[in-house]
Amino acid sequence: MKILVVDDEPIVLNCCQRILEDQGHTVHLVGSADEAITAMEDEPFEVLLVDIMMPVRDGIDLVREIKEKWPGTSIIVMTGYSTPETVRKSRSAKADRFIAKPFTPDELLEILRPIISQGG
Amino acid sequence: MFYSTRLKIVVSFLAVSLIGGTVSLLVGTRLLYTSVLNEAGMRVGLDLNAAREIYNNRLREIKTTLAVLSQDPSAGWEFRAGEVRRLQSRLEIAGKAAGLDFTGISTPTGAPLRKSEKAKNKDGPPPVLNPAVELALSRKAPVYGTVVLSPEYLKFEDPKLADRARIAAIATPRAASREEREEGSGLALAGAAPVFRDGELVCLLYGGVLLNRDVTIVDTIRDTVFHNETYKGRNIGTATIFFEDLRISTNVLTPEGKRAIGTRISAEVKTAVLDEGRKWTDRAFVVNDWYLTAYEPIEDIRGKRVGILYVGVLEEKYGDIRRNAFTIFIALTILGMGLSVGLGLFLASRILRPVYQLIEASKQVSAGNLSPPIHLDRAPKSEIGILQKTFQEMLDSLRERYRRQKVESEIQLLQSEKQASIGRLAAGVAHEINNPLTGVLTFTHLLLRRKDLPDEVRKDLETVAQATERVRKIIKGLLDFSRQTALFPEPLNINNLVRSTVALVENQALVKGILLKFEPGENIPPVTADSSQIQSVLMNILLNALDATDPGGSVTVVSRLQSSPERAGQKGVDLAVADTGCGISPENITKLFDPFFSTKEVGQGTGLGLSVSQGIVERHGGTIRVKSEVGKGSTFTIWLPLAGKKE
Repeated sequence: MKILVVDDEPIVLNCCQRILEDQGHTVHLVGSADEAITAMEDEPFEVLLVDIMMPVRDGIDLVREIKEKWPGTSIIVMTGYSTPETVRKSRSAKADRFIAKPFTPDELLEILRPIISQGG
Repeated sequence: MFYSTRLKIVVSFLAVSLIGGTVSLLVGTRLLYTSVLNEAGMRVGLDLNAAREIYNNRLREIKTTLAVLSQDPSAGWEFRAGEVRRLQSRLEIAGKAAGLDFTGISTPTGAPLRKSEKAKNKDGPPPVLNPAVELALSRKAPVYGTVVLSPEYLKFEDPKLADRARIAAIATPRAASREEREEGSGLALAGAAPVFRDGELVCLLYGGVLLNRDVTIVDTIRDTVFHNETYKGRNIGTATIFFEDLRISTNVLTPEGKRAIGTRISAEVKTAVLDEGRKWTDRAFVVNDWYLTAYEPIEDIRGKRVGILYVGVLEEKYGDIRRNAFTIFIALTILGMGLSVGLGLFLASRILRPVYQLIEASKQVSAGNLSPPIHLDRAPKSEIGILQKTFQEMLDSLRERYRRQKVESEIQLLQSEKQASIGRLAAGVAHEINNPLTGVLTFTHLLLRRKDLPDEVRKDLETVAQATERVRKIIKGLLDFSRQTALFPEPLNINNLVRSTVALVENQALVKGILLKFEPGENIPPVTADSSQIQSVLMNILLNALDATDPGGSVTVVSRLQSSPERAGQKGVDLAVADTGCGISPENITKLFDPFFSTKEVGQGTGLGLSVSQGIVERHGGTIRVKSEVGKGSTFTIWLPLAGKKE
């Protein structure tokens, strides 16, 4: 499965790459929303892991655009600042799942499992 | 509304003065009248004595006249010497001077000598002797007093006297029955003085005054005793001489204005005075008016009751006194009423002024001014004064409370600001820490998955993982505390949730020796809530309960349908966790939900648990209630609405 991870924090990108590649997924990492759009335009990913708090353009905005342009994409929103506000926003932006940072590999995989079993 | 109070006071005063006035009017008039009547009655008694004195005085005039002549030595000589005419003449002159109706000389046998010229034609001795002469002869001493003279004797003395004595009895109401229609006898004041010469009775000089129709005595009484006072044209004071029960000399007038000679005394008085010889003092009906009267019997020279002396005062005059008193009392009552209205108004305004002030002050307090003017310095030591003082104290305590509330709310504000900044700090810290923490967690776990790790490295890594886990929890606690953890509400079976939560701590309870029970309520519909957060709340409360309970105690969880404790009618579910632990002291109960409040030792608890729990429950639209008794245990009740609050 092709997964795009969007986060301005290299550690998180690194973690996701390690966890997901361990499971045999193809992982592409980007550090901003714009890069994510570019990457999607190059080759559509089935699953996106999107951080909310990012400089320039935040994750919610990105989720909205991705869901608009590529409605079939599954998006998991992750944030280290899990406020009701962000959850509501990501819901309204049609994000599929929500995961709070920090997470263990198992927790991330648990969140991903239903999406993967649906086939993206 | 003020005016009604004033009106009430004035009306009360008026009523009191009216009642007082009326009572004093009735009682006072009555008392006054009675005392005046008593006084008047007493005075009439005294007046009667004076009248008797005047009556006796008249008798003394007779006595003096006769005594002077009879003791003159020439009297005896003249009689012996046949100079009777001279003696007679002297006697007549003296008698006229003294106003006597008749005078005469009697022989020692009692036979009167021939009278003066006018009586010359009359022959023979009188058929009846003058009783005074008779008595003087028998006693050989002077006799003076009241006598009854027969018509025959009067005729002998002077036919004119007989005519004067004749009085026709007039029918009088209330009088005793009387046989004779006409009285011919006369009642007289008479005297007889023997004249002695050389110790031998020579003759008797006699004389007297016929009282019939002679008003000298009664008018003298009227004029001297009663000062001839009149009332409405009538004499106030009246006097009468009765011959038996017949008025023979009086100044009591008939309705026609004539002297009531010939009228008679009432039977009642006659019986008392004439028959029984008593003195009579009372009000009595005289001729045709009520009088305050005094009667006493007149006895003749032999001590026989022959007549009555009367004085009376017109009662109407006292009736007038009563009327006057009544008028004065009415005037006083009206004056009193006027005064009481004035006084009532004055007092009302005096009493009500502070009340108005208080009303005004209350209005100002309602309007928000907690320092309205209250003139305490002028406050009397009355209930009103106490009210003023109490009001002032109330204001003081209100001000104090207001001040305290202000301080408290300032503290609260400060607290919430502090809390908000802690929240912001927590959020920032969480965000900053969570990213690197993700790295730590991820790589620790990835490393731990490796099979080729030496045991000690694995052990160290596990320590790292545990420590990181702890850091994550702290961060989560901070975030929770800043109340910004997201809710993921979903319909959930509350009994299942409780059951699974209870199962998680069952082991702990078992180890500690505490009986942990769950009594699920029936027919509880699903509650929309974030299951993990509600579970953490329940878990938090359960763990607290287990901590507070000693071995052998019990912790009971009960679920039941329950409408809102605050919002009536809103349906919801109660989750009650009751323990038999140490309980919470009242001062701690109020701080229970404050952040960082903990009774546990440092390091044992963050002091955020209940604060966070309350935040979570409140965000679900629910409440947490606590009931606790020190030494007996506590009950925490979580109430969650059935229609979950959307987050």
